[in-house]
Amino acid sequence: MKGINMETLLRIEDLETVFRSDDGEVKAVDGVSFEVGEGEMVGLVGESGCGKSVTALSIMRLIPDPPGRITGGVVRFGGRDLLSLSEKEMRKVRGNEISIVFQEPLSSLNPVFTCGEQVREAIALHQKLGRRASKEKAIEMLRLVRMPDPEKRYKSYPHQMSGGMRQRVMIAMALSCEPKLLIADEPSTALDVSVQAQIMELMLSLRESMEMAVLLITHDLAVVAQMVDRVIVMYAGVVVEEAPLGSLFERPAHPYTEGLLGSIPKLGSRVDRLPSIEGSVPDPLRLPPGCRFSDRCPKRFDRCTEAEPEMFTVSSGHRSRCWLLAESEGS
Amino acid sequence: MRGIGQNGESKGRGLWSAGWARFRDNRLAMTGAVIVLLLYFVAILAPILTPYDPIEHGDIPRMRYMQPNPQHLFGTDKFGRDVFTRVLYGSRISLTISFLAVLISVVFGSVVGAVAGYSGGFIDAVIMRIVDALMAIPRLFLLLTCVALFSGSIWLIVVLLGVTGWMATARLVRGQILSLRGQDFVRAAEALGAGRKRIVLKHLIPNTLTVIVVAATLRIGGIILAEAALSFLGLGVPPPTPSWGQMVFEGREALLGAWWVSTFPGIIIAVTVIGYNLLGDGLRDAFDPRQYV
Amino acid sequence: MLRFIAIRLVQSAVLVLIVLTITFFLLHLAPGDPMARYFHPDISPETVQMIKERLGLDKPLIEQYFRWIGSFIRGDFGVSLAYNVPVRSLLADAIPNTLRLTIAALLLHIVIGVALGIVSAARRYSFFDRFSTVAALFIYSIPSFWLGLMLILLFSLKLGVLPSSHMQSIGAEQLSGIALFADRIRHLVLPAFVLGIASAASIARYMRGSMLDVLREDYIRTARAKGLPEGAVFLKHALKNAAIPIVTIIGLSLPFLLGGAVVVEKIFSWPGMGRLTVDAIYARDYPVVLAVNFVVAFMVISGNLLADIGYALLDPRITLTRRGAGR
Repeated sequence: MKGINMETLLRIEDLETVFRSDDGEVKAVDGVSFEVGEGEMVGLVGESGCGKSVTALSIMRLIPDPPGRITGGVVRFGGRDLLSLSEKEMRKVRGNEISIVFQEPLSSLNPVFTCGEQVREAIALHQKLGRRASKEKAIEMLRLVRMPDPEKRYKSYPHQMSGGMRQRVMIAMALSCEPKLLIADEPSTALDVSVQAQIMELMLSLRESMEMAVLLITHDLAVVAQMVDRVIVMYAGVVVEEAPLGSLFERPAHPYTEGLLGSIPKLGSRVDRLPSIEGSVPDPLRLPPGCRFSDRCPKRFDRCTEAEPEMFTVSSGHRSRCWLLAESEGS
Repeated sequence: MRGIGQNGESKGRGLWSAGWARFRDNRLAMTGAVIVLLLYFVAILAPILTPYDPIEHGDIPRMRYMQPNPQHLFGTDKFGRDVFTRVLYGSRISLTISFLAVLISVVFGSVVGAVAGYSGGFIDAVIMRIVDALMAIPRLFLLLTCVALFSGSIWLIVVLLGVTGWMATARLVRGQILSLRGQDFVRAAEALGAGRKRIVLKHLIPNTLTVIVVAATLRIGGIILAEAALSFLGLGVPPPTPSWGQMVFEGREALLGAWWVSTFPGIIIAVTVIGYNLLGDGLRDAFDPRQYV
Repeated sequence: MLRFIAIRLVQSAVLVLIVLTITFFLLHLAPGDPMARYFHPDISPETVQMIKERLGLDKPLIEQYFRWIGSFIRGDFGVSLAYNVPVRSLLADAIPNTLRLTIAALLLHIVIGVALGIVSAARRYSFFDRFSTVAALFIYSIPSFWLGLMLILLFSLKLGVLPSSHMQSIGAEQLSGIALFADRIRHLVLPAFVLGIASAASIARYMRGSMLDVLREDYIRTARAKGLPEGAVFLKHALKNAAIPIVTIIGLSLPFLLGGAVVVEKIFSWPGMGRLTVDAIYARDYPVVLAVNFVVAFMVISGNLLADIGYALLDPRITLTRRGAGR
């Protein structure tokens, strides 16, 4: 397993993204900061609506405007702040240095173009290759993602493929220009269980051979457990805990993380019902005062509703946003 | 989201008042409603609004082709008649014809569509193929053919405008019926042993009514244009009864010298059609339940 | 794909047959002796009887029906009462002229409508978008005959820049190729514009809506995530998807264009089928009226067939069951 003191590839500082609605502005991402090292695989975990996908789209600057807008922060990548690049410069980053694989492969592929064409297009765009050369490269990419009969599948349309094959096409498209960072937004969630494992395994092996960093976004800590070096947990638009994988699973410092861990079925232990976290994610327009998790937290005490906690260091590389840590620090 | 909030309110206040509230907030729709109301107002009050007669010739050598002036706001035509007066009286023809024709087409189309949709199978297939075939003949050609075969009076024009325009309504109603048929309350009525005719009349048609009313309003504009085109071709309302289309046609003879004879009736036709289209759009946005599904 | 086209061909043929049947019954429903309409009043009753027997008009209705259909399908539409020539030869002159006008209007309305729709979608809620929304509503509500007259008044009578009637200038036959072509184009401008502008307005609205629907799709986000420039996202990824329902709408606009041609040909003295029909109605020339009806319906049905094939070519997902789902 890789350590945390490698070269930093991506550094996000105080990222803030808002969405306008008829009822007011919603801060979907509210001051998120984290890092991804070169070649590192990081899991970004949280329930749906916690802002993890918006964070990913903000890195790529693909937030639909209107209604959304990035209102603050820095996304440092390869020595530049992506948020201050011109649109033209940013286009050279997208699909080339940073790629993204989306959750729903069917709707994410254009139905009226062949899969091969959609892979080829990215190659021709960034590698300045002609039609023949880019086609050959595209078929090579399809072979790399273990697409059966790639020459034939090059000419297939998305609706003629299975869900797993479509996601392979998306991965081939994303990796075709050998990006330094791959963002995978719930890449296996929409697939059949048996196919999920294949896709995750494919991503792991490709990551090894291509030496790229991966930001894996998921709601499922169990998925993360098999693959990543480090985990970042998000809740209601903020990072609540950040830790190396082992440290997180052995000593979770935030009650929310504990709750997430509690809902993973453990091998060998038979339970009738998985314990899950009470309540639901708060309406971003009506966040509870103080800690955002306070209304659902089983360990809540007075201070939790008075002010929002900062990030406290638990151990090297392990930080958490919970007042309980302040108590232990103080004592 | 706004739509959800309003939907929530609508449960308390009933579909109709919620729809009416939505309609009132829509400025374009209200403009359309005002235009249409104003037109009916003008049609009814025409004799009070103008001192002139729409049909009787004026003192032709002195009165013909007078420019628009304070006495004759829209000028006069070749017979020395006041164009403004004829436009006012013309609204009676256009509004009456379009209303009756739409009524005929909507009633006929709804019945045919309901029968097709409710019967299904062979009857449905036959009816819908006939509808397809009739829709393949452009309406104006169909109208002209009927006029040629059945030549006659203004009432015949009304009937012809009606019976050449029912196909779209039939399609619409059939679609509605097909989607409603599968729903529980119709099944329940069938299970209770209600007769087929009774189900169509008591349950299906009322449920399709909003859709029909909206479609009918939107279709009035088209009928006014069709009647005007027919009159323009000299095959609609026979002169000297003032009809807008025919007035545009008559102005054609002296287009350069007396532009006002054609221009004003044309503008009024356009304003009327716009009024109905705005009203129809507004009604659809406010009452058509499909947009909340 | 071939199967799809074959099935649509058969359906279209059935539709043509039904149109013929309806026309036949329309003729027999009208008051008076329907077949009397097929003979010139000056012909003596004996001759009429003779022709009737030869044509089989004394046979039972059902037999007449099949004969009538047979002759129509062979293109034998009888003899014009007004001109005393076969209807077929009248149509042979008129059809190309109407096609020239209609196709020009069709191209015009597709180009204008699609372009305006794309720009409106790209600049959604801008001044241009709001303005074109109102303008489209207005144009859609203007009677075409009135618009035609106003344009003649302005461009022909006042400014004198465009001709007001006919397909070419008198004596244009003596002009050389390019000059003749230019002369014909000048004559085509006003009628094609008047005929196509209302449909262009409606296509523009549909195109705008269709583009906005498509731009919300996930695959547009994917295209942007690849680093494609906005132009390629719009004109390649969005346009091809947005155009699919528009093809159907264009097919459906054919009856409007052909119906509108009646009025436009009348205003601009264009010697096409519309003018032929109107003149035939004034003259109670029934064979011509019915034949034109049939031909126009045939054109509409063929046009819709073409639109369906275009739809199938654009959308690789096409199957018979999904046809016309066009959101």
